[in-house]
Amino acid sequence: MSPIRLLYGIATTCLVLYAVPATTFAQSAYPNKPIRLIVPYNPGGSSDLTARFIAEMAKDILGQPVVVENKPGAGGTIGIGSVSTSAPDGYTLVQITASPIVVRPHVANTAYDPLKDLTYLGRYMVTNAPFAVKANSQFKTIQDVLVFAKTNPGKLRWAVGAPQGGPHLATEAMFRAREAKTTLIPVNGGGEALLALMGGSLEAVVVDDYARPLKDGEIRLLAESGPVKVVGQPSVPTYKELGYPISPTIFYGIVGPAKLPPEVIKAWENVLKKIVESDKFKEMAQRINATPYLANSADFTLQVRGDYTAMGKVLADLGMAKK
Amino acid sequence: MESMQGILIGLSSAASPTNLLFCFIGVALGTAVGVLPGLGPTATISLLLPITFKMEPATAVIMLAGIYYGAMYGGSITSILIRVPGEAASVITCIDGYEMARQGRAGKALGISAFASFIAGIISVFGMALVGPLLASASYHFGPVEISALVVLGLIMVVMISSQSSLRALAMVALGLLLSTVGQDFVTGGERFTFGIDTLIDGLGVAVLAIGLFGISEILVLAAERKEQRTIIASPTNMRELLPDRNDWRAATGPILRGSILGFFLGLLPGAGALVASFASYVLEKKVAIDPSRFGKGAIEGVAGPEAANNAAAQSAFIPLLSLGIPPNAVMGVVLGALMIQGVAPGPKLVTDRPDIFWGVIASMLFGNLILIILNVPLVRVFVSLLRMPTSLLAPIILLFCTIGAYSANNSMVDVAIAMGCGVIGYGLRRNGFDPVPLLIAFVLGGILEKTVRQALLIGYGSPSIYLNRPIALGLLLAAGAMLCFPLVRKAINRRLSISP
Amino acid sequence: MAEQVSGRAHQVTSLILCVIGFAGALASWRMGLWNSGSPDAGLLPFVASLLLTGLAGSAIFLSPPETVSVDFNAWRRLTGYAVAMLLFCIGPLLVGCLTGFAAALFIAMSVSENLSLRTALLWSMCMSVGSVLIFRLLLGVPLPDPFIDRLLGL
Repeated sequence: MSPIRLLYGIATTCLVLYAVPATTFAQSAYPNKPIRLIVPYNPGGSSDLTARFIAEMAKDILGQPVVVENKPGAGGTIGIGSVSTSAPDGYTLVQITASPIVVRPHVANTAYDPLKDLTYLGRYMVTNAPFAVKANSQFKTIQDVLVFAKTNPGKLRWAVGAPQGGPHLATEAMFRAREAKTTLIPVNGGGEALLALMGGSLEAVVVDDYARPLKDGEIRLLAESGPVKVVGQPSVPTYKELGYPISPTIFYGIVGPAKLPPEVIKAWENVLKKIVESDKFKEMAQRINATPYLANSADFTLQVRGDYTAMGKVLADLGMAKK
Repeated sequence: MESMQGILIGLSSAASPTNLLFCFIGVALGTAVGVLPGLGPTATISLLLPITFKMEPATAVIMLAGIYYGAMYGGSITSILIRVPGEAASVITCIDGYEMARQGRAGKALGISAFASFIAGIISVFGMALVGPLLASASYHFGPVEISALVVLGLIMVVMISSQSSLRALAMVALGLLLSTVGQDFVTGGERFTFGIDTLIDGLGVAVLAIGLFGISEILVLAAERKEQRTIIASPTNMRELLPDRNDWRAATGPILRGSILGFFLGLLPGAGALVASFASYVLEKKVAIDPSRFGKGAIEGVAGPEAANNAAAQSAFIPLLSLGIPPNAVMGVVLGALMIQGVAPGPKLVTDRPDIFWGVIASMLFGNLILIILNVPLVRVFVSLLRMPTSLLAPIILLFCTIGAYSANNSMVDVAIAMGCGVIGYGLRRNGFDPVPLLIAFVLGGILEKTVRQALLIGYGSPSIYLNRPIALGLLLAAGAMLCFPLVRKAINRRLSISP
Repeated sequence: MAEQVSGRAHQVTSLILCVIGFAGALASWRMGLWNSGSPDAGLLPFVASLLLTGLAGSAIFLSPPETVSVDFNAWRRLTGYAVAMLLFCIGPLLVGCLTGFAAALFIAMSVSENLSLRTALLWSMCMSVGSVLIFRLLLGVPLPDPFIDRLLGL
């Protein structure tokens, strides 16, 4: 065969293959092919780790591999944005946490509307982000901190592990409610915040990787920014208990584009229920200091809507909402 | 002594068959990953994460560590042979390493790079064993204030070396500083120079920038200038020219030792890392060299020093991770995650609670480096012969790898476009006498500088007097000032000497 | 002729850098330089832009650097590469990586590198298929390609 003929042959074959639609295969129960689970953050963080853990366990329950793909950027919004515009067939899903859903859309333009463009399949855990000080600090309760901050404007230096996140804004709201002026030091992650705290550059931090320093007696927890108490620390009050306006949940869940078929929703509710109730998951959650906290699709959607509206109000009050 | 006991525990742990096997797998994978431009250890480590769930924690970290410092060995291979940095940290090796390859000394460059990495690795292990745990708590005292002072010192050194070259090099420093500001502002959250492009919110990636400015621009330079040159690298005429000779070793010993120590200490600092270590070594070597004009034209010191530094730093980065639980960079963050999921919480108690993990990882680096040098030396011959391909075939293929490399940084085609753009810009700059090296160094340092200075000022309640209150920072700033004044003082003294009878 | 071209080219480059510096200075001025006792977002870009403008501006008046004079065939080679680079960027998005890479490589090899059409075709297809296989299937880098997605049933 002459090279030209060969080339034509290859070209025609390619064109034909492109043209044949993928859905000529018989429709079978969901899932009948691998599922892509996007993690909108860099590998190694709690989002990534738990997503991979769930993907491994889901594989056995669903009978199809769940492939994790990292799509980091812009605080999680890039990954979520890419899924919100994908086909609602249940084969492209994204793991979410609170900030890009209930906070970011209020302060910046995101590619998606959390109330309209996403289907909330289920929530699997929540984490804590307590307000912590050094173990030998002069502050014994959160009231000490607030009094100090009010009487010494600008002298309280603190940092958050996740800037612009729920715990950050809740703490700002608390300071504002008590007319305290503080100095927020921007840092890259909880690790850096803790390092600065131990090194004496900060008085307080609000981070979610508090567990190991707490266990080693390096820090003391004064309050918890979310509605769920810190595991094993019943004496630590939540912002809500203290009467401060907002305590957002730091939730972790699985989400897909809008209008997912009911069988997909049911399948994932089942998967997450089985996983979250398993001993293996509970053990893993304990190790990374998270609390398993299952919610089905309806409850999760309700919780997200509630948090979204509440955060919108707080941000407007703080003057941080976008115009 | 506790350390001695620990080291023995570590050695026995690291020498177990399983750990040796996974050490080998790790370093082999790391080298492969390092060779491929753009594909970094982070991607590989996260791909292997689920497998580590089922391993013993010590084995998991030994393998992941192997991938990380193995990548430093592999990254220099493409830097030397095709001027495309396999790892962002290897970009400095592109400068003199590639020139050496063009002069037919590719084998020597590869050989010295491997041996420098090996010696640095061993020195780093001893450093970690002897002073590691002590230094870990010293990291507490090296906060944003001190780091900003250190970066100021670094920038002053870069400026001084650039100014020796020309006004144009200084302009490149300024451009690098400007480019480092692209992205979301760390403090205020406002977007700077992003032009509405989502991927730019996190700034320009150094890997993408390096691939474009160094690799792709080189393809264009070759396309424009090549007349009769058939191969990118000249082939050595006989076997002896393939490996470093006695002169090379004599020249390289100083840089290797200095680079190892410099890299070891810089790796301990959160935020510094292998890339900064290799920059620092290059700048240092150029400063202490008898004839600095050889740099950029194939000076072996320009390969030996930075290669030693980046390997030493890659290993010592495990000290803050294991002793403090603070990952100094993104790759360590993934390793931290892998450990956490295993129920091991790195921190000050790890040395006493789990000496098998702490000392086991450190001891495994001895074996890892040994495996790497045995793997890499024969590879020199293989790689040099691979690249005997004619340039006309090789250059487009290199462009392909640059594309894939730029894409795999963030799985985004926008990065490919940025790399291509930087390639064109790099070509334009190089043809008109502007050197992209100070640009890249200033780009990396600028990012760290701005972040830490603003943090420092906030920590100091808005007053620069914080620098006076922190002895380490003050010392570094005084050193920077001395560096600035030194040439002026010397000139004044010379004038005095020449005037007086 | 070649020397004159290169002489002006280096001045044009310095001018472009100068203009970039100027634009940067303006933009960063608007971002604000100082904010309640500490540097604001615009400070570093402003300082860097000013330095760039000044240094690049002075560089316009420097003597031309040593450069190899441009061979006029170089324009054809460079244009070929420019097209190939463009294809590398847009190709994968339009027709998928396999075709996009192959097309880009083909252009680079035939136009710029003067390889025979047959050699160029062969090598471009081989390298394209080989690299996509290794990176996409073996190493898991998600290179966009509707063809492969269909093959894998994604």
